[in-house]
Parts: sequence; C-alpha cells; structure tokens
Amino acid sequence: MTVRTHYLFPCMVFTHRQEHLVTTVLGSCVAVCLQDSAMGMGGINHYMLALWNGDGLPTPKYGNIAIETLVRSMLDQGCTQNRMSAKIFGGANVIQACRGHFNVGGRNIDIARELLGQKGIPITAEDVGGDFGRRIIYNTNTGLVLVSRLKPIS
Amino acid sequence: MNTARTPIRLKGSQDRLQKALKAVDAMHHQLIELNEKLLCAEALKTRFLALMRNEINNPLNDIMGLADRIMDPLVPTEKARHLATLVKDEAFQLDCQIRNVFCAAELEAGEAAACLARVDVESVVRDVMDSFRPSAEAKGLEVTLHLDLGNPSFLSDGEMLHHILANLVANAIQFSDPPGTVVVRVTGGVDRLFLEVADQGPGIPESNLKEIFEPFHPHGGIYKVQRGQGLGLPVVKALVDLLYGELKVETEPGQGSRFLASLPSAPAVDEMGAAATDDNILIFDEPQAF
Repeated sequence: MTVRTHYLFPCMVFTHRQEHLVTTVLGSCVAVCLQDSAMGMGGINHYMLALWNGDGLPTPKYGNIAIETLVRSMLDQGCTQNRMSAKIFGGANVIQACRGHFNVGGRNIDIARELLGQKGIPITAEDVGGDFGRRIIYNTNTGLVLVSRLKPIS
Repeated sequence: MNTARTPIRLKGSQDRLQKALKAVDAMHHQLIELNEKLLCAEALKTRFLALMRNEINNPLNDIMGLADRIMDPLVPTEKARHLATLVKDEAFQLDCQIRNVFCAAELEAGEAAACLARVDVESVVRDVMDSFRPSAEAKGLEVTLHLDLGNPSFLSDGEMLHHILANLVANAIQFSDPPGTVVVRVTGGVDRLFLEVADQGPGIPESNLKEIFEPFHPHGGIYKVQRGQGLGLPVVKALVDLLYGELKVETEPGQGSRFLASLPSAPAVDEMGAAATDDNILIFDEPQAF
C-alpha cells in the first residue's frame, strides 16, 4: 500500500491515525515531531515565532500555541502524554546579522525545549540551529525523520 | 549515639523543607500564571458572547422581523421586493460573520491548509465586488475598482484571497459614512499580488492600531461593540501570514484608512520557507535519519 503524503505549511499542525509522510521546509522556523510509539501515531507542527504576544489570533504560527495545539490534538486522538517523545528540527539562524535577542531561530528552539520539558516530554533527537535551511520528511507511524540540509548554489 | 545523629537528621529535614518550600513557590507561580490565563479566557469569552449577540443575534432578529412583514398579504409587491433585498443583505452579513468564526477556528487549530492553484484573480475580485456593491450602494457609498494585473492567473489559494479581500471591503464599507468612496486596487500578479482597500472613514487612532488585529476588540472598548468589529481583521492577518504575505495599514484620524496586503506567489513561499534569500534554486544534501 502506498503511504500517503502531506506537505505541511508554516503555521500548521498535522496529526493523523494513519501513516503519512509529512514534508516541510524549515529556515528559522521549528518543527516539533511528536510520537506516541505505543499508539503508533504521531503529529507535527511548523511554527515561525516563539511566543504569541496577544497580537492577532492565537494560531500555531507561534511556538507556545503550536506545541499546545499539537499535544492537545494527539491527546484528542487517544495518545497519552507520558508515552510521548519529541524530535525537534530547524531554528536556523538564517540572517547572519540577527544574533542575540533577534535570533528568531534560537528563540524558536528554546521555546520547544522549555515547553516540552515542562510537559515532561523527552526530546529523543534533534537537528537544530546552524545557518542553513532544512527539508524534513517525517513518518507519522514510525517516527523516523529524514533531514536534508539546504545547500544554496550561486 | 542519638545526640550525635540529631544534627544530621536536622540537616536532612532542613534540606527537605527547603526543597518543599521551593516546590510550593514554583506551584504558587504556576497558580498565578494559570489564574492570569483564566482571567484572559474569561475576558475573551465575555467579548465573544457580546460579539455573538451583536453579529449573529441582531441580524437574525432583523431577518425574522423583515420576513414577518413580507408575509403580510397587505404589503404591496414592490415593497415586499425591497424588504426581500434587505433580508438578503442581512443574511449576507450573517454569512460573512459565520464564515469568519469557522475560519478563525480552523486557523487556531492549525488546520487551515492553503490549497494552491492558479487563481483567476480578476474573477475572485469581481465576485467580491459584486457581493458587496448592493450593501455599499444601499448605504450611499461608491465602490470603485482599479485592476491592473501583470498576469491573469496567480499561484495562491483562491478562497483565502477571496476571504482576505471580502473582509477588507466589508470593513471599509462598515466604517465609511455617505457620501464616501471605497477604493479597491488590485495590482501585481507576477511575483507578488497587491490587494489594497482604502476608505474615507473616521480612521483609526494610533493608540488603537494594535488592538484592531485582536479578536473581538472593538475600537471603543467592549461596551461599544459595533457590527464588523469582531474577527475580520484578525482573520485577515492570520490568512496573510499563512500565505507568507504582509499586511500594512496606513491611517490618520479623520482621513480614512488604507489596508494593503502584499502576497507572494506560491513557489516563492517555499523558497522563503527554506530561507533562500538570494538563490532561486534549492539543492538539498543527502538525507540523514533521526
């Protein structure tokens, strides 16, 4: 049987009981892949900024909303929080001039670590930071993630 | 022997006590945080209910009242036709609000996926204009369209484009007083599409510029809820974000407002997602498994 595919856009969350190969492309954005191995199902988000500051709708554009939404969506589908594990990807520092407080990628990584830590969800693998984009392909059934790093050519 | 052990036991108890105090302190902070969140949720619920009463209940009451009058056999045909137009107008407003509620729910759940296709922009724009023209004319407003597209079709999500423009036009009509003009300008269409809606309404004070993008935040506070001041702009902003675009507002009290949505075409969206700032071709190295 052919595995279904899905392209995940920024600000989106995807969870499914059936096996899917989810592709997304990350720059300074971060994707959290969440797995409940006992259920054999997983979900993924793709957020652009760390925290929702009350401006506009509380959408998964923001890490704190995206992580909360992903966990809730998994729980709604019968997963158990203490069986969940996470893998995080992205958070590149794509604009060299943006360091310190303006390092969007770094802040995106920090919020994932902090919120997952608060929820007691262990991070079992990660490929974060650097100054290159990434394309990831996530298997929602096995939890396997294939990461390709972006090589810009002139 | 007991006296020798006492200090150790006391020290152990002190350590445990300090740990317990720290835990209580952390819990106290969590409770304060939770309480703040609950207060925010409560305020949001209150604003939501006020909006529902205003945006859903009032038009429904109007529709029922108008329908009663139409059903009266003594009402002349011409008058009944006019009343039916009003019913349609009210139902249209209601439909817009309900669409916004569902759209906001989808956006917040991260489920509002963009369906990318070649969009006939002119047809989308004309459809929006045709939908809103009757209510604008009924209010004594003129709506003008300037269409200058470099390409007849644009790779994007047609429904989202429609929703963005419809909300901007609805707001412009809402906040304009007769005899005013609402100007809709749609340009670009090659790499980027520019949707611009300008009105001659009261404008927005600078202090309220941030609030207008917050859900259920009318300009004058929650007790002055007016129609159209609910989810329109927050939904527009979230949709523009989803399409990797930018939304700008230029306004001056007494001089009207101008909203400009600038949207990239869909292939550029992927490139921006990969942060390819100067390269058009993206090459990925061999994948690694995690």
